[in-house]
Amino acid sequence: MTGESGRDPLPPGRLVLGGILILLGAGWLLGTLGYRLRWQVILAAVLMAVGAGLLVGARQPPDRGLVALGIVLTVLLALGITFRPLVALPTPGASMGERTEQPASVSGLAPGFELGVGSLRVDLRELELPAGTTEMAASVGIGELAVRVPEGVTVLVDARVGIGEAVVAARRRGGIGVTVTEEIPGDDRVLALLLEVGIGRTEVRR
Amino acid sequence: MSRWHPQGLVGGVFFLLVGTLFLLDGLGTLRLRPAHLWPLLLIGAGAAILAGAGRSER
Repeated sequence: MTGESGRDPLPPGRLVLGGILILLGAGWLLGTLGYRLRWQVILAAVLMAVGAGLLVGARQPPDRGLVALGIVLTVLLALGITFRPLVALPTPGASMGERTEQPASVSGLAPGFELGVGSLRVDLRELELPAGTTEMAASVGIGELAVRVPEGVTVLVDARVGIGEAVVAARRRGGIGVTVTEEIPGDDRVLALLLEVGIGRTEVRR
Repeated sequence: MSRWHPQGLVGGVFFLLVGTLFLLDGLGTLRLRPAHLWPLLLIGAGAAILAGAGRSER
């Protein structure tokens, strides 16, 4: 049976919908098999599929459903990045209150420090740091995160606050989606801090 | 006679590019900053609106 010279174009909306279902199902399956795939990665892949679908169907008027889906996904992903520390909030069962951590050795820095709601102080002034880079991560869902660092060491700060303020070496930055990357100069011992606060304040000083 | 719809082209390219950025951020290859992200989104939205306004009737 010979076909006609023209054939009906495949509706891009259906193509993309099928692709989206496959992506979501694959992500879910990987999750159940123990592979941790962040939702941001899955949704970004879906957004790329939407873009590809619009390009494939660019000889037809754009599918409004696809465009709407693309806009919603873009806004959701952008909000997720803006409020990344909020999205990464500790679980509802996380601890609350005031807490001070004073690790005695570098091994005490892993896997990091976390507080749900309240005030977390991490005092590293007495810590003996080796040459090279030592990393520490700390997060507070809602409240304050204060870190005291040892004298003389180089400190690399990567601080993110969803809503609030970050103060690093007396330099203050506040607002929504605050991201601060600062270096406090020192010797060849490097302390790299990854700090996240959902709502509140973080401060780093010697 | 088929013709290209600029909105479809611009929208498709935009979502593909932005989706790639989000994907790289999610995989840890990039670290997107909100201060860079939102202006880019505004530029993309403006381009899509211009593409729709520039479509000529035949």
